[in-house]
Amino acid sequence: MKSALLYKMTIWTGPTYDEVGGKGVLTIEAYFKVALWGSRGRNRNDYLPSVGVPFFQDWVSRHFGMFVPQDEIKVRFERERPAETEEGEIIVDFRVMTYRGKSISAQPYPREIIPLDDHGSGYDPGYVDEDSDELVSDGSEWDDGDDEDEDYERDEE
Amino acid sequence: MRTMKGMKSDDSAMGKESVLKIDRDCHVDHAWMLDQVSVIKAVCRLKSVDVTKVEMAHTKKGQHFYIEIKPTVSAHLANRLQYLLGDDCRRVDYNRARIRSKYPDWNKLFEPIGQRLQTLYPIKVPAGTRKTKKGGNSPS
Repeated sequence: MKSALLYKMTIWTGPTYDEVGGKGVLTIEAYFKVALWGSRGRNRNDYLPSVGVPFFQDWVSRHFGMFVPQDEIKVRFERERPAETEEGEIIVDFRVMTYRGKSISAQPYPREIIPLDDHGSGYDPGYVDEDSDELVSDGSEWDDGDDEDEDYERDEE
Repeated sequence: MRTMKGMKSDDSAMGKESVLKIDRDCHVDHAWMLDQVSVIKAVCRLKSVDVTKVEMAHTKKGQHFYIEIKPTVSAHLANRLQYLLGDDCRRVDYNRARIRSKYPDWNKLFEPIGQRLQTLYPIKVPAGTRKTKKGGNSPS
């Protein structure tokens, strides 16, 4: 590995009907951006989804009061670009797409940061919180190995 | 800058775009792709934009095109050019919504790991194989 890589991962769910908030049909998108060293395959297939998906589920639960099961969550990556070095945090932006008549509008939400310390992040598989020795997640339940087309495939949802 | 009615013209938070990304969901012959390069150059010229490089990656449904342009353009114009170049309609819709909400990384195009890029323009001719005016190969 000659350099770190800048990863851009998008996690989304929907279109779904917002029964709690009454906002109609919406798609919730979260955009994760971070530069990392290490194997591209491992970062794409294991590490970043294992951090991002629980974070996404937690965020949706906090803002919309609903739990999104894993099989209703899509994870896709853009082409990586070289980065100077690894970053100590994952930047996460959010847009909630609502469908009004013929057009789509995107509602922005405040940016969130997932810090990556020496032990990883609170959403890492195997992360040990110093205050409690409980494992947050073992990451084994996440399977991104589906062979579906990785294009922009809204039509299949 | 002229804008459509109701569209905000403040692109200061968005930055400028130097790469257009096109998602085409159709399998075609290589000769058609070379025609596509001519169309890309012609459409960009309509908006006073020069094409400096065109790269393509095959996908299961068709192709992805990455088009480097000069000078850089606003996000709205980039999305408009992508629409004119036959980008996926849903992608255009979603990108437009992201742009209006001022998300700077609006131009999403997802790819599986290790997808290879093929340069369509400018075409690189290996040294010593370029044909001369007399019909022979140029001296190496």
